[in-house]
Amino acid sequence: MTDPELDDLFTDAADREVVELLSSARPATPPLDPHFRNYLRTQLMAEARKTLPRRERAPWFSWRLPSPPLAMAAVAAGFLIVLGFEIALLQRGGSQAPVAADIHLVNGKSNVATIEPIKIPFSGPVDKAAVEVQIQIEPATDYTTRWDGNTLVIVPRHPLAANTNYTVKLKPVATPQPNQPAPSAQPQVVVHFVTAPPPTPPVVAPTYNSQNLVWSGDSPITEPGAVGQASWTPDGEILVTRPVSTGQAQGAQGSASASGGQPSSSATGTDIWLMSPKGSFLQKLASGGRYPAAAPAGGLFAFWQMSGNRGTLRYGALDGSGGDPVALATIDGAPDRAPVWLGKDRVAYLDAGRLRVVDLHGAQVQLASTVNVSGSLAGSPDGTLIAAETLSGSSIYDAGSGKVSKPLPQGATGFSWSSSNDLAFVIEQPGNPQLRLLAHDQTASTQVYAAPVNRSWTDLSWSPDGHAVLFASRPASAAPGEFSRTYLINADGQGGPVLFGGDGAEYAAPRWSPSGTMVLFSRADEGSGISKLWVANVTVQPSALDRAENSALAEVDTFMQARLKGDLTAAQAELDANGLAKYQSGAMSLASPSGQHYARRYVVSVQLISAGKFLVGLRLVLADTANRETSYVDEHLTVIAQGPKFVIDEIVQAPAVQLGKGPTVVSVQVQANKPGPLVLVQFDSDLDPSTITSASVFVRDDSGQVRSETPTYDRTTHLVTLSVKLKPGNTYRLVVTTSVTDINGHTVAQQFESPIQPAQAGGG
Amino acid sequence: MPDGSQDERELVERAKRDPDAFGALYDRYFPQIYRFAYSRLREQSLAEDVTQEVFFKALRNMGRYTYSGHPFSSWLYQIALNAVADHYRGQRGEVELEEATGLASQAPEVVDEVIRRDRSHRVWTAIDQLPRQQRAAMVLKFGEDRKIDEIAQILGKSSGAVKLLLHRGVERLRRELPQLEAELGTKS
Repeated sequence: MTDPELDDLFTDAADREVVELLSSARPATPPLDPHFRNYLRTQLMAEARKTLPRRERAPWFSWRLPSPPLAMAAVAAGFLIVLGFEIALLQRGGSQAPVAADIHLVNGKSNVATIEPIKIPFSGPVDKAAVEVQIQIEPATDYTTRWDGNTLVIVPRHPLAANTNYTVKLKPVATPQPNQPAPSAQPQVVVHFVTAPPPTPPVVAPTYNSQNLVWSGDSPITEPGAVGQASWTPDGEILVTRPVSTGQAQGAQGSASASGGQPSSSATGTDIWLMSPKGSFLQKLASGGRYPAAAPAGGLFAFWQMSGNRGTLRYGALDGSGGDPVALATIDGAPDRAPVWLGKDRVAYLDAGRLRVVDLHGAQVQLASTVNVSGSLAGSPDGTLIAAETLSGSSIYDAGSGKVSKPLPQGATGFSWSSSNDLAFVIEQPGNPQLRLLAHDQTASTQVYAAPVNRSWTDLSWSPDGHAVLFASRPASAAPGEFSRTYLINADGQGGPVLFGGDGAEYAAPRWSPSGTMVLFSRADEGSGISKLWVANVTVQPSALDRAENSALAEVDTFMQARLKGDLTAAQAELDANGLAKYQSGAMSLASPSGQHYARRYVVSVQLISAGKFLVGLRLVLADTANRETSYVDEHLTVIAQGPKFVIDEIVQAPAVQLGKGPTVVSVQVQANKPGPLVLVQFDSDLDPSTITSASVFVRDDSGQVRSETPTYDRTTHLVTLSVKLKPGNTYRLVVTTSVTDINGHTVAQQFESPIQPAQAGGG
Repeated sequence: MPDGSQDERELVERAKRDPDAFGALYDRYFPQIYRFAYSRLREQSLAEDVTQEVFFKALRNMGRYTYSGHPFSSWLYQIALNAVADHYRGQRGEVELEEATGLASQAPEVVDEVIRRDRSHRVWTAIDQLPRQQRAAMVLKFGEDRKIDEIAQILGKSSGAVKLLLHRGVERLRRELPQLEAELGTKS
């Protein structure tokens, strides 16, 4: 140790060992946006000149222009990049008045969330329509825009692709001034950013149960009263109601509820918005709407809209496309709950308490009997069943006929269906609530947990894999200092309930995200007492196979770090004898091509081939000497266990592909499924769906025979899914031809091929 | 003064009136404040927000700053610490892990990072999981090389309390690091 203070403080040998380790292990240099430091300095200096006692007034932008010659040069060029601002200078009132696009919020960022709007503030009024019409986004991205004052908010209609370098181009156009000549054409502003990498998918699907789950903190995502009801969409966005005007909303209708089922607004004063998991408002979907509910299959949402004393049930597209929401039905009076989706094309709702079902053409489904619902109501994800609580008891009904399919125990309420059609519910018994489960075969319900507590259990929420349930536990009667807690319990009841988060804070109305990695909940603000939305992060402990996968990826990381640094000696040290022989024979190269360097890399695919052997698809993005990303090279690394560590056994390199020349594949995943596996192919662009065919995206075997069914395309996630028939131990190839086209008409630049190697028996 | 002595004191006095002097202070301390913010928040945009807040607060309160025998940076760290605490206010993720009950309280990032990153990163990821005050003391001592007296001033504690925090932090790492190494199976 070289610090005398530490020498004095730590005399125990074991402590000193840790201190030595700490002293030698400095934290890595944090990532820093090169513009940020200058940008902040500029802001500070401007503020300092305004506020420090001996200030000297200066023209607004004089501090941005260090010298007259530079200013003149900038004016002459008409384009200036200074300290994170791109400034277009235009003539107004005879003097130069700058309109600046402040791009520092996103430009140059390398870890941008895929569900976030792109915000570009302007320093003054701009011609919004003229600015909007100039926007270009690459890769091809469908988007909408809105304006928050002078800030342009670009909202991609679907989540952006991960690991992708985006370019946004636009032109600032000042608002035309009366009696002034029209502003001349302005130089283009160009913004570059790279989206965050997604978590590497585990080779084995995770099991969400209380033994595996890890809570890793939570954070507020809204201000108190900023939103009302809130629920997840299948794509991981949040559907919320938002008070229309300021002031009126802070009290009665402002409290946040993650349930989406309990009324929190008393008037028509809410709009329906889509929000990101970080709390950014993405897009207004409906004015004057309430009780929104997303369709389980995604893409659509239904909601209520009041007109006078009549409520209209409507549905629309979650990405805002397709025009105004369509009316499906009307009822007298105000609804008291969200409509209930039945599969992808029917919606159940209550009309004066009577259960009704309507299809998306507005046609009423004739139910064989009248069902008057007095409490909980929930539809199964496949749309075949409805659980309803009525005055005469609770039952499961056939959604097509309205006939009772299965009576439920007396007092059953709080229904929640799992992804596999299991039904969880609570039996309310004062002082002795029970949590029960009815499996999808509907034989008999089983008790998951019961406890003699004077609390009520509500807001049941299944894990995405149907292995566990979250539920809120709140005091049966309001008592000072009491609040909702949330518990996690396995569907089989094993291990009993586990407190979620912590005992010292409120966790109300939990809602598990479709990805399983987040839980939305509400908590009363300490100051105002008004609820706000929070998100808790959860992950699953890796399985033994996941640990092996992570170790293999760590080896790839070590190997690539050496290559990116140009340290080929260190890189060679990660090769086994086979790999080294191939390298020495010139069969593969570890260095970047001349005049280029590896700017970044990311994992495209990971496959378990056999025990201790992984095939890792890696993309290396190449940049030129000006650090512009120009092309990429795909490599497939065979990584094998050798003693306690993994080593690189083989590298297969594909030819370089130019960037910005049409859509590209960013991820390939082979997913276990019944009856056969699925191959999931994710693109970076919004594609033209008509170009996704069995001839443009397919899996073939060694003999060239196609082994995949007709592909499906989910435009929300840019995901093409193929059902395949594969034999373990054989090798196949995924092929994406150049006939795949994005929405701008650009085709895939070069045929993409990726090996598919299903694991041999015993590999898992 | 330990890191700047008379020059720094004069610069600070000038910065109360002279924007350029304040700019010089900014240039001098930006890297360590940004690094400190990032080490506590682990997210670039949040570190930027906190760094911005620190220097704007410093600018607005320059007139009230009086030299107390500690480096000017101590004051900046203090503001940064409060800004980070504001960010985390009410977050259960920031509560002391030993207080947490129920679900596994070992943050998953530890395991994931351990597996993926190098040893240095592992150590600092483990520090990330320490209780708030321990973590602050550890980061300032081992990441920023601050003196114990200075850390005490930044944290508003006695030197003895800081020593205790460091001791507890090291003890906890001593317990956890071998386990993490074992999980990786590559103790180096």
